[in-house]
Amino acid sequence: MREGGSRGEALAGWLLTAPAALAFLLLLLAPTLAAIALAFSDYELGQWPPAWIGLDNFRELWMDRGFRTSFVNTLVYVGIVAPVSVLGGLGLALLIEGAARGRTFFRAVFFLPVVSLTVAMAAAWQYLLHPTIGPVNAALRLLGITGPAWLSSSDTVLLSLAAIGVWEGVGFNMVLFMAGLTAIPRELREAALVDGAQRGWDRFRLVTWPLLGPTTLFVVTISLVRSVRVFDTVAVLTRGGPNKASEVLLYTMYTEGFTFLRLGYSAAITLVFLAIVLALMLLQTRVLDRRVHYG
Amino acid sequence: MGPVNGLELHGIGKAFGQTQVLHEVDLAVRPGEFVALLGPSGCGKSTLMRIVAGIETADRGTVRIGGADVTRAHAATRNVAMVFQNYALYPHLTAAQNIAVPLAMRRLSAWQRAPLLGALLPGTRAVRRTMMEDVARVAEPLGLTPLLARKPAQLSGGQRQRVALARAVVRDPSVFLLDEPLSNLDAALRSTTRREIVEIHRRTGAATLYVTHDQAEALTMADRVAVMLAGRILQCGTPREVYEQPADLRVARFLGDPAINLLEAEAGEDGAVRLEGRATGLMTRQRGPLTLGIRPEALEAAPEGWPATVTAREYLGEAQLLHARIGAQPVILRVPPGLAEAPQMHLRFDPRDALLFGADGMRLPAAEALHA
Repeated sequence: MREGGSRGEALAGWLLTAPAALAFLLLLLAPTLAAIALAFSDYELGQWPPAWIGLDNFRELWMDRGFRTSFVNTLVYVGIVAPVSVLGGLGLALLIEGAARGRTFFRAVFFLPVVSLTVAMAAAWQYLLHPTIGPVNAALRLLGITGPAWLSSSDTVLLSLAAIGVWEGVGFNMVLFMAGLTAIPRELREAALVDGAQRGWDRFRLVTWPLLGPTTLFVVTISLVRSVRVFDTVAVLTRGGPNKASEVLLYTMYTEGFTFLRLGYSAAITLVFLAIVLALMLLQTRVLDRRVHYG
Repeated sequence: MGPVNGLELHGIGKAFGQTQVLHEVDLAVRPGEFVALLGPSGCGKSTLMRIVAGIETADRGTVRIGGADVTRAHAATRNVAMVFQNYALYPHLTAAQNIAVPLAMRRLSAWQRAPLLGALLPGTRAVRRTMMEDVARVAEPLGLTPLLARKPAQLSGGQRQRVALARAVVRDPSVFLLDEPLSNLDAALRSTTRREIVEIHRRTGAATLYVTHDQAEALTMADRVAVMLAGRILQCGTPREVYEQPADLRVARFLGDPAINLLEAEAGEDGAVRLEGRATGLMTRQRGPLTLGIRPEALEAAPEGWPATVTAREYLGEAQLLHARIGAQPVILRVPPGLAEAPQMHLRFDPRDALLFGADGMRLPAAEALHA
């Protein structure tokens, strides 16, 4: 044994991990801990020192009707966007994968929303969904239907935002599913053919769906997290309105923290948000992961 | 031969883009017959097999199974079973479920196969029970019974291979296709599995087409060997025929390990074939330059004959290979392992073991082997 050598190796190991460890501490762990600490204080910007108020912020959240609306709205939004964008992405991936030509073209078209700037695209959506001059309602008028004021009616605003969310997410999911599809061994599909899976649906059930398991799990998790995080379209298009009908978790957090400057209260909302994301991650790694890997 | 039921291929042609992979391939496999399709990788043998299975469609020609034209029929309707090179087991299903897939696809309706709902439909349970009986029946002789509950990832390569075989034969296929099924197994397992495959073939009585690039597999297992090169079947015959009477130089060169010695020889005005100016004892109607083919085991050291210089030797255990030169022409001969070392020696061969090929590469008829 070369004592000195192994000590030198250990030192080198620590030195090599130091930048990443430092970045993790400064950029992730410290802010998270700070947010946790703030959540139990009454800190408001400009007021120092903050007082330790225990669970008061969370008690207030529980009673706050605005927060409840925001929480429920977020659930509804996630409940629409996540499943539709996952199934839509899968459907598009299967269609494009099965197409004889034009694969690259369609892949690019559906991926475009992912690489474009949401805030800029929001302007386009505002025009598209405009109640009087927007093409969507113009098209409906041709069919004899009077379209609603998509973004300014409390009945449809969440639905409209969800549609934009799906439009944004579906291309991303499609690309992930396409990657998953190419990883399925060709021999397995051929075996399914020879084994008598005559219809496409049979082959999908026998080979594609089970073997896409890990991909699907990843896509579902990513979609859930992405849709829980909805913020930019709300901030740009509706500001939570009308009448809090499109108030969502992150937007409430933003207004509490940066409009009303109640950073302690805002941090409590952040913790709720973090808890949801963490729960989703746990669900993925602890429960579902075991059921989709066959190795 | 007349119409045979089983598998019949006529004039099969296939191109991928500009590349013509198969040219006018004819092949027939009778029920109960084991035919090996032997060729180097890239010769089109796997494509031909995939055309039989219905995974690919031929550009030209017809595929008949049991007398019926299935050239354009869907793979699922052909009653063809196939064992894939990498086994192609469904990783999420147990061994028993894997073997049952072809039965489930045929005996259960789409609704009966649906999860949860299927189990509630009338008849599903009875069908599933008979399916599991059939699975047990094919699993037993393959020694799979204790492994039926395992997933493919928990099985060794040889066990996966058996599951793949069981899945192929569980539904009594009329054509049984095997695509290089032994290439992923180690040498010891390969020879036992070889016998098992022949055994399974006997039991099913199906027309079996076995694709391989390994001549030892083809020669030991098959009733007939079809030698395929560059998209054409060059010769189809019993293992002895293709080895001892190859139709042309390419077949002669492809079969045999080490490869056959091909020597430049000359037929004189009298038709006597001379090698390095010395009479071989062979006569031919052909005149001029010829190719003389002698298998390494047909050459032997002798007190007199062609003078040869040994350049290298390889010890194989049961024999040794001598690399030598007759004049400027290199030859390999297989001799007993104890043969004394001598750099200079004389070689001879029995003219009846020699093959003659004309300038066009075709073997000369019967070599006209008249003894001088």
